[in-house]
Amino acid sequence: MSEARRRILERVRHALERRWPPELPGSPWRASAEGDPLEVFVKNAAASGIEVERFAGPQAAAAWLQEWAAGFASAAVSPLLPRSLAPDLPAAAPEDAELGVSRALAAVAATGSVLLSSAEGRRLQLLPPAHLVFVDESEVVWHLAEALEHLSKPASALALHSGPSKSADIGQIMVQGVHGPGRLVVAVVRGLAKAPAGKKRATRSKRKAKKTAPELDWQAVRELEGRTLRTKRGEPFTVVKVTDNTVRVRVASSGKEYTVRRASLEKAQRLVAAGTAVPGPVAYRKLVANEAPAYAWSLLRALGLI
Amino acid sequence: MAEGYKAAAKRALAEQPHVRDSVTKATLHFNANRERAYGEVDAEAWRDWAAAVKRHLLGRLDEYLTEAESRLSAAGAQVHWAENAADVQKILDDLVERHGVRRVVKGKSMLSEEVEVNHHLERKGVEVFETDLGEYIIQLAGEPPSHIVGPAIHKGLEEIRALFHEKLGTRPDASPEELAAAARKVLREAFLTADMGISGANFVVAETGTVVLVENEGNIRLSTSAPRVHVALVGIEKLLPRAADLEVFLQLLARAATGQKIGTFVSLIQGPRRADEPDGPEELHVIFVDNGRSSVLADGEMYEALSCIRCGACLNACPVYRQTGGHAYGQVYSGPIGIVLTPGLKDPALAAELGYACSLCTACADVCPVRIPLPKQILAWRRRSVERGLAPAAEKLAFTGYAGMVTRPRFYKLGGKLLRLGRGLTGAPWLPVLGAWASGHGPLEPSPKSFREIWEEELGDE
Repeated sequence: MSEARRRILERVRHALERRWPPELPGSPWRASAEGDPLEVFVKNAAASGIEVERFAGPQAAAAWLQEWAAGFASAAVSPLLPRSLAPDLPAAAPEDAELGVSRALAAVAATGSVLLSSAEGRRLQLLPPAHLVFVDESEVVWHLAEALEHLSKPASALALHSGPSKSADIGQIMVQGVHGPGRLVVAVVRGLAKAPAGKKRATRSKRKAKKTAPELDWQAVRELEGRTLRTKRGEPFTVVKVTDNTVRVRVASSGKEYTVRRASLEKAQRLVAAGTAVPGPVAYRKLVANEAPAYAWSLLRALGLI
Repeated sequence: MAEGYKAAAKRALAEQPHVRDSVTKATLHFNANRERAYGEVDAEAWRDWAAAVKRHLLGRLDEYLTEAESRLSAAGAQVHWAENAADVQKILDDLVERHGVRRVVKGKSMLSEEVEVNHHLERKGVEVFETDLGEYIIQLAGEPPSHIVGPAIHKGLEEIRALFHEKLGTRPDASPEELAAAARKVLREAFLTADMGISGANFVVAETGTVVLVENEGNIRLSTSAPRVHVALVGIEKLLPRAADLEVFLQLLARAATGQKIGTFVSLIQGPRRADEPDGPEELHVIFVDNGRSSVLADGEMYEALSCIRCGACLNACPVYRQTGGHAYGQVYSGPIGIVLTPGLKDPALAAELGYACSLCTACADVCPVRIPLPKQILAWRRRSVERGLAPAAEKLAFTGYAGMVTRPRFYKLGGKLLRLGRGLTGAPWLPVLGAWASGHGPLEPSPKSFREIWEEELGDE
């Protein structure tokens, strides 16, 4: 592919020979900023369907939160949030939670947006049907360019959210909550930045535990060598050989041999650990790999993973 | 392309009159929103500025490409280069193989249409889910997108109801909310089980190596966040010099496309998941794709079209597009920008028909947020088609004759007289050019006297 790179750049350079590019225009254009950015943020955010709440301090916000959050069954909460602002709800994985709670880096008045960081996790910003975002009053800036200075911070992805998820792709009729949250609530709190962030350590250790759990126990696979197993449909087969990276099986009735790669079994293991159901060989073929799915699935069952 | 624009347009109008209604309704809606949104800001200044930034960028494209590449690599992304569709497909094959990919979720990307990602992956046995609601609708229908921003605008509510009823088992009279919920259910499962997410890119910031994606549904954020691998297909012209440039480009794109202040979700992706982050893809692959762009860049009359930010405003403004929708063009890019880009990216011979899917009304130039001189470029393609002998001989003859007549006063006078004498003739279908013109208009009705004659009669003495 470096050959492709060389040729593309060569063609581009050739195309640009004897062409004088215009100067890069100076500082990006900006609207004149008059008034209070907070007022403008509230107005613009509300206009694009965001519910905005304002609080004089973290305590007032916490009091409101406990009552407001009572309408939800579970929540996925940002580790960047002060512990006092975590709703009193059972914690759930983002894909199951009814509410996601974020701590924004900034809010932009001109566009009515909040700026979120992947440091707190991306799924909790997207998967729950409702999304509550906390931001400090002092973090409300006028322009996108000011908020984008956060790009220099270490995070794999930042995102601007400027309203609930919506689409007009069905006959130009606006529908909310298509893929992302159908409800976006922004709570602007004075003095939030000074409140200490909590939960960070707890979440991190939980994640570590979760991450080490799905390792496939290859020794257990090795111990299957020589054993005769049955497929879901009752067809007997033998585990002929287990190498470092593959499992070889022989079907009793036909004598045919098939190879199952370790990578595929590990992938299946990860899916199952993440809560995805793999009820049979068909699902295995669809979700994991199309290599001897009937036998691979039976191996997983023999290992007690399914 | 199986049939040319003319035949396809004629067929579309005769066989699918509802397409015209749906497209007209949608584009007029887009137009009204854009006009309002342009009116709220100093759109003229923004457009001048944005056009200048893009022209500068194109003039130093090689430098910005290598800058973006080194920033992306430094952040842990893997950068690939693809000269054409086959290169892209090969890179994807390798990734599919390496990661055991069975399911792919895709964000809307016109470039992926160009290089036929879906067909290719499906042939390899990979399940591909288009996750933009409009793209999902047309994927279910087995059609290509007909508009850059609203891929399914040619379909009305009734048609979508029937389609979802057949494919997803929704009620025949389901509300738009129910239809969206049905799609959400299928796609939510896909997001959570997919091994790879594929997206395009609206912008890539060279200075910071940031891949920028704009959308309203959240499907692109999910496609680029949930699976283990994220692949971004990036046309080499998609760069911006500085992060601060996004200030205007994000707002201008949204205002030009749908009249919003900014897209509801903007992803600013800078690399794969970091060790201290709870989730995100383990690998980020960025594929810089040429696929004809460097030839357009080399074309002095056409290269400005590479400034395009794919807002779709020129499609919405185009009175020709509005009649047939995008499918009649038979190409990935339709409307005015499609007429200009397609022959340059693929084959200049395509201009012979596409060049005439235009009334030269210049509405597209009035709305383009990056001031691409579309009408001038369409005219240039027409001129080149004539020079290459691709225009009909009769038309050439008629226009040579016409030019000969109107540039000589004596002939002009004589011509006017003949026109008045033979007024019935102008509606005759056998006349070259005039015949075609007359079939869609009433006959010419010349004034009994020429302006010159009236001038001489009434004012000649003074």
